Formats: sequence, C-alpha cells, structure tokens
Amino acid sequence: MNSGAMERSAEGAPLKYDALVVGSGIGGMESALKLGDMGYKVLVIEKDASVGGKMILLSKVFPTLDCASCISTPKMAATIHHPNIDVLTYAQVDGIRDNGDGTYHAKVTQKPKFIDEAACTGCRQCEMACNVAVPDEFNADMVSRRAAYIAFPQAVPKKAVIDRAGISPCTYECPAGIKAHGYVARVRSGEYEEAFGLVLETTPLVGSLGRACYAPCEEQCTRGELEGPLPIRRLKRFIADTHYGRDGLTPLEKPEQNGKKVAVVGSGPAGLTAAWQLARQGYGVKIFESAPQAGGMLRLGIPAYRLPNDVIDDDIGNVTAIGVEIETGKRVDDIPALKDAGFDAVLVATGTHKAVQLRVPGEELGGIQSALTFLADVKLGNPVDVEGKKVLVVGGGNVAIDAARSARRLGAASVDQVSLECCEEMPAHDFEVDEARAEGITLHDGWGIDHFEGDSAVQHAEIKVCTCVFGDDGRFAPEYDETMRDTIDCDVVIVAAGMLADTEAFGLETNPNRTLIADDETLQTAVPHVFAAGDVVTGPTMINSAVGHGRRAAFMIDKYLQGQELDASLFDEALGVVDKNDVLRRQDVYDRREPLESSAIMSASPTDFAETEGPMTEDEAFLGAARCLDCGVCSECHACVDVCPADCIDFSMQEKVIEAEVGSVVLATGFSLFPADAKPQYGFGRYKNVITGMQMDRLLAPTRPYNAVIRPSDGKVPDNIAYIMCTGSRDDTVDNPLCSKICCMYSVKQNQLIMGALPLADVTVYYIDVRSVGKGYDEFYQQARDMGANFVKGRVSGITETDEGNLVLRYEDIENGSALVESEHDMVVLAVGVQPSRGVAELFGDGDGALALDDYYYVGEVDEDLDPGRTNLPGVFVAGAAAGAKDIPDSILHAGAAVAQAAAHLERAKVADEAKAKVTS
Amino acid sequence: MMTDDTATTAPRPVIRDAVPGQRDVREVIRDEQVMRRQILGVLADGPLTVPELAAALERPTHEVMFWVMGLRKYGWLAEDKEVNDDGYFRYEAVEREGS
Repeated sequence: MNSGAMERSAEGAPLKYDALVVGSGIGGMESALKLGDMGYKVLVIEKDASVGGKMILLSKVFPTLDCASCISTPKMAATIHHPNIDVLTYAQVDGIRDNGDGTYHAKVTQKPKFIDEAACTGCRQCEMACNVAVPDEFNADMVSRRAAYIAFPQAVPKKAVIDRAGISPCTYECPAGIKAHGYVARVRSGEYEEAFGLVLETTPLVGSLGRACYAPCEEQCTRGELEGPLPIRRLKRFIADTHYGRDGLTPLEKPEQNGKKVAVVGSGPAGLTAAWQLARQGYGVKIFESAPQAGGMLRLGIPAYRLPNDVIDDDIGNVTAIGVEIETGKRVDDIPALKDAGFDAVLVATGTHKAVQLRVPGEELGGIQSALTFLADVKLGNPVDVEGKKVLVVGGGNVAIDAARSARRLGAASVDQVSLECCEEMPAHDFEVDEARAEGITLHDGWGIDHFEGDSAVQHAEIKVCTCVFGDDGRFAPEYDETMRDTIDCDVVIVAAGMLADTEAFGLETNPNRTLIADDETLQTAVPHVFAAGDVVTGPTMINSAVGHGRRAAFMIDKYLQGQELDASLFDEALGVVDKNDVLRRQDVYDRREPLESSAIMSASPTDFAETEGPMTEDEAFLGAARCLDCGVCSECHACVDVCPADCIDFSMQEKVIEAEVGSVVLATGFSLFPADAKPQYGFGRYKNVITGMQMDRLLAPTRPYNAVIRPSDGKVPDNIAYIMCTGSRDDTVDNPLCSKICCMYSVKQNQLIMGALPLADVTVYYIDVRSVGKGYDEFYQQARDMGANFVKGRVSGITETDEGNLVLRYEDIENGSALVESEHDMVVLAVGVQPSRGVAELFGDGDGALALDDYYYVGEVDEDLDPGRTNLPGVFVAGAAAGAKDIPDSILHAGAAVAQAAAHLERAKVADEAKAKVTS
Repeated sequence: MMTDDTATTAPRPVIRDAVPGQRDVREVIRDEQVMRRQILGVLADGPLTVPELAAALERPTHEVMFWVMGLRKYGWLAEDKEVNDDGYFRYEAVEREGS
C-alpha cells in the first residue's frame, strides 16, 4: 500500500475503510480524492501497475488541447499520496459480499510485483537488461516492453514490476533447479557468459549436464505441443563449450571464508554441487573421494562418447577454483567421526556404486563382471579385455546400454544384450536403445538369464522368456515361461542388474535397500551434523536429481550451521508452474518453426570413444533458442538481479489475499475499447496501416512508441490520413446501437494534432454525422475544418490494400449523389467506440446481492437522470464511464455525483448508528 | 443490444507455414532479442531506413518496424533528425547508456 497512513486493524483481521473504490482511471481517482478530502478512509484497487487509467495514455484532451499527462499526473500523485487514501496497484478485487447492514466485505488479491517497492528507485535498469520482449499494452501493442517493466514513464507509483505468469515448464521440471528458460533467454540475446553464470548459480556441472542430462525440461517444453521441443540440453552444452573454449578465462573469485568447515564424502553430482554451493557461501569445504579420480558416476559410469573426461575436468575445475579441496583415493568409513577432524557438518553423497548380482547359477564363472566395474575401468583407462570376444550384456537400463556400446567400441566381435523388459518398457531411454541398435548391438528384449555355463570361464548363457517383470504391487518379481528357452554364446558377460549404496561402514541408519535414512525435506540424518544427498539416499536416479539433492543439502547445511530452523519451504520456489494451454492460447496461430535435428553421428561399427553428438554452431543455438515461447513471461534469467543498483528484486514474493470491511463501494471500472478486428471489412490486424484511435493517440503522445507519426508498415511519414468514424458504435451489425460520445471529438482532436505535427499531410474524415455536444466542442470541430481537415459524409463499406501498403476506401458519398466512390490513403484511423468493462457484476455474485446491469451491460443506475451514480445495491455506487460512455469532464462530474451518494450513505449509516447507540444507552 | 460474450472457450491454436506479413504480433515481438544482433550488424555500415533494413534482413517491413522501435525504445538505436526525400527516417546504432 502506498500511504500507510490508515489506522490498521489487528493482525489478521480485515482492514476497515469507509469506501472501496474499484479502478483508478479519472473516475476512480476523482472519487477517491473527493471522499478522502471529506475525511473518509478510502481503499483504491487498481489492476494495473500504475494508477491513471486510459487518460494518462492520451496525447491531449479535447477541446482545450491540454496535455493529458500534465493534467493527469497531479491527480495520480495526489491519489497515491493522500493521507486518507490507500492504493493497491497490480491488485484485483476477487469478490464483494454484502454484510446485510449496508456495509460490504471485499476480498482483494495483491499480485506479487517481485520488487521491493520501498527500495525500487524506478531507474529502469532492470527493464533495460531484461531479455524477454512482449507487446506493450500501454502502447496499444505497437512496440515491445520487457517482462521487467515500468508501465509507462509517468507511472505512479514509478516502480518496476516483473511480469511472471508462473514458472516456465522447463524450469519447473528440472530436478536440479536450473533456470532452463533463463539460460535459453540469455542465449537468445547472445549473452553466453551470462547464461553460463546462470547455470553456475545452481551447479558447477554445466558441461556435464549439457551432455549427459536426460533433459526432462525438453519433455515439458510447451513448444513440444507444436512442432517439437527446444534443444534445451544442447543449448547448455553450447554455453559450456563456448565458456570453456574461450581464451583467457577470468578465474572464479574465491569467496571470503566464514570460518566453518564442511566435509563432503563423495564427489559425484550431488557432492560436487553441494560443495560448490557451500564454498560460495564461505564455507571451507573438503571432498573425500574413494576413487582415484573425482566425479563419481560422471567419471566412472558415463562413457566418454557421451561425456568426455576433459568436460568433467572443466566442471570440477569450477569447484576447485573457489577453494574446494578434493582428496581422491580416500575412503571414509566412520562418518560421524569427521566432526572430530574439525568439520562442523558432513554431507554423505557417495552414490550407489555397488553392483546388484543376478543370483543365477554360474555367475561365479570367469569373464563375468559388473557393468559398473567395466565402465569404470574403461573410463579410467584400465585394461579391459573384450577385443574380438563375444560379449553379452545383461540389463535393460542406461548402464547396460552404456556398457554394450562401450564394448562395441573396444572391438568386441559381437555384442548381445538381454533385457527382462520388452523394448517399449526398458528403463533405458528410447533414443539410447535406437542408437545401440544402430551401432550393431543385438537386443534380446523380454528375456532373462536362467544360468551361465562354462568350464572355468563363461561360454554361453541360457536364457528364457520373461512373461512379467513386476508383481501387482509394483515390486520387482519377474516371472518366466520356463518352456521357452534359448542359448547365447559368450566369452564375456557384463551384468547391469542394478546398483546399491555401499553404506554398511558409515555408522548411520539405513533402509533395507542400504540407502541412508535422511529427512525427505531437510536431508538431515539422525546424527544432526550429518546430512545425506543424492543416490545414497534415493537409490539410483538421474544426474539432475542428484544435483538438485546436493543443492538442497547445501541449503540445509547452511541453515544448520547458522543455527536457523531447517525450513524446507524457503528452499522451494513459491510460484507454481504456468499452464501450457494458457501459454498456447496467447496466440491464435503459430508460425511453423521446425526443431533442430539431432546432430548425433552414428556408426554401425564405432571404433573409438569420440563424442557421438556434435556441438551446436552459434547460428543453431540462436535458432534453437529463438523458438522459445517465454511460457512464464519472465525467464528468471536474473539479468535484472545482476544490474539492480538497489538490490530490490525478490523472486520469492507471493500473492497476498487482503480482506477489507468497507462502508461503501464506488465502481469506477471505466470502459473497454471496441475490438477493431470485429469489423473485418476494415482490415485491422491484416492491413498494417489501419490503426485505432487509441493507437493514433499513442503516436501523438509525448511518450509515443515511435519517434514520430509514421506508418506501422514501413516507417514512412504519412501524407494522407483517413478517419473512419463510428467504428463499432451506432452499429447494429456489431450489436452496439449506442453512440460512444467521445469518438467524434477525439478524432477532431487528433486531426488538429496531426496537422500540427505533419503540416503537409491531408486528413479526411468519413462520418455519418459529427456530434460535438459540449461547451466549446462545436467550435473545436469548426477549428479542425478551418485547419484543413476534409469531412466527407459517407459510411465506408470496405478497405483494400495496395502493394505499397496504401489503403483504398470504398464509400458512399452522400453529399454528392450517394455515388460509390473509392479513395486512396496511406494510413487509416478507425475511430473505435467504447464498450462496457466486463466482469464487474461478477464481483457481487448472483442472487439477491447481484449487481444490476443496464440493457447494454454497463453498471445500471436506478435513475440516471434523478439519482446518478446509485446502483440497485444500497451502498454501491458507480462513477464515470462504468455507467456508460463519457468523456473526461462528464466522468469527473459523474464521479462527483457518485461520491455525494456514497457520502450520504456513509452519513446516514453514521446517524443510524448514533441513534441506535443513544437508544441502547 | 449487445450480447454477453464474456465466457470464452478459446480453441486450440494452430501451427501454419509462414504467411508473409501475417505472423502474430506476440511472435514478431518475441523475435526482437534474436534480431537485435542482426540489425546492429547491418547498421554497423551506416544508418538505414526501415525498408532498407528490411531488404537487408530479408524480413517484412512491418516486422522490422516492431524490432527497430523496440530497439529504439531500449536505447540501441536512434533516428536521424530529418526524414529523407522519400519520407523515411533513417536509424543508426548508438552506444547504449551504461554499455
């Protein structure tokens, strides 16, 4: 709220006001100011980010040609600073309920602005840096604004708002918490280093995730509902490749140490991410890794053709650059004892590196090994003997596929893969199965191992048909058709039957499957200073899930070490995901933009571990990112955060519901403009040089969207402008028989302003009759004629467009024998009329308390001649154009009437209360 | 009399091949960030009018208008003081405040 001068109700109780004013256009501001001046306490609710309504957007007002901004802004400032008025901008009234005693209860939702208004200086730095462009509704969609924006230069309050429709589905879906939409937006703007930095805010593993992540973001991409998703993962790889490939990288800065130490056991995605996050906050972090090289499953489990070692090295280099110490070849068994070694907290993130055995006869034969051991040996460069041999891989998951494809690269004579699941149900991703097949791997899906045979070394495996993998309870319980069997000859068997956590020595509580027991939200174990994250807690998952767990663990460890409550709600994003259907409905039609094709280079006989997927070119990255639909509007790219000098951006803000008890209600919701495309014969939307009166007003305003009055089609200064009056007014074909009252005069006003701005331009007005009723209005009209505006009596039946973008009008020339005439202009302005604002009646609901509308859906007045402003509901009044089309002076006058009615109502209630009190005493 | 048509059940949007000049305004404006680099690249050789820019970019002039005016609003471009003989302003890349 703006003024803060009101007497507040007790915490949690509804606020109390004498009057609620809905809307802050000229009628609303006038109502609030008059009531405030009378001493009443007023609450104003405005749906936009600034007060001022439509008037502030006008060029000048008729007939005085006063500057609209000059006469609006004092009222706007007075409203917002009035000691008796509280204003909620960017808020909406959800409902108004009759209390039955002439007072009302209002429920209001304050939308989050994601800006600390008290700190915001209105400097527009956030707006200038923002990477998302959307149509500027305050400039009648003629130019862009940004997701971070100040409504218009004279906005009151002049504070930024960040337009967030919700979290974009790609970002919401990422278990790691990476702002996927954000880095896509950064790439689209060519800000590759900033994109890299944005991912670094979450994890140091930018390059690894850019290659090995399974990209659930892409599965949720809204563009996937159209032609196909964005290449979000590959864009991440692009920014990592671009960053790591730069010469003269600026070293990451080491943060100032806070004196506390944390031990991280395990250097996989969870451990590295947690260490990164903690070190950035000043903790001294040491990672203990039992393997000879750091990286966990990234290093040991993912083959180099998917994730090269140098990429892992680059990513880990981020962690060590900020001071994290990594000791490899160091196995830690007694976890709680690390405290004695000087660590204030410990994170266990050891993953699941223990292989599950098949438990079938012959498993002890030579030549049979686990996929984890095999893949680690390959990745670490240890000797592996599969060349020229018949290799059988057992398992249907990604690890099995990785092992099979690695064996193929190492020169195996043949590679067979047996999977219990049929192809469609295999845990491995479809594309990996396809790629494995393309590389010559023979897949036996729907088969299980019965036993292995051989002398000392395995020679063949007997397999049998698997009829069911899981029991009714979803647990692993394979069933077989024992009669259907086959044999596969093999020299080497690689088993990928699952992975287990190796936690027996830790001295911590474990589940039956050996995963550690930790709180789901806080990741704290039963030993308070010990936390656990990643696969060692969850069992085998994806890299991005482990990253997300590591980030959460770091957040919780920080809270723990600061002695704060481990409140999980502070970690999670408060905003919900945006509805994809809502996103798609923002446009009627989408231009087809085909997705980028996969760059995977497949060979039927791969011979090395070179990456199968090629890098993106810069053009591909641009084209890929350009397909983004900006689902959440704001991309969370944090460009605004980076530049805000007042540090006032707060993405954690949430919607607030405010309840208020009010003695009266003034509805000042104004009008809406007739949608010009509802007259298709005039071509609005199709012909770029056909614009509305409001658009021309914006072109003439000091804060105009263009640098001058020029054509939207090509920027040419127009020579010959036509006006078509009564567009959508006095027109039964669009169900509006009413005169809109303002169109004639605003057109005459614009005629004069155009002739002032473009002295050589011709202005022609096609009209039925000119209604210039009002003091000085007719003189104003005559003045336009005298200046040279050509008024032609005739209704335009249609418009066509020439190749040059000029417009040919067909009309009946009434004053010259009603001949059908054509005339060419290079710009046409449709003098659109007004319509009632919708949704006002819905605030009051149905039944006895329903608000009555008039026959034209304006707010009904019980007697607009003798009792203006009074609605059918006692204590509810209507001000200005909400009751019907009015110009500015009439709106102000009408607001005065509504205010007098509201004041009388409040005084009557006061007198009645006093009388009641007297009787009681 | 007007009908109360506030209840809208918007149909599912459709994808179509590009129809020159008829892209959704939201879509055109969304491209501003992508087109910025190209526009600034073309203007590196000197100021141009909107039709000249459109020809260089091989994009419709009205779309270029959206991008030029957006870039002008956010300080990337500025216009000449006078129109040329054909009635067009020329726009040039300018050093952005704070850049």
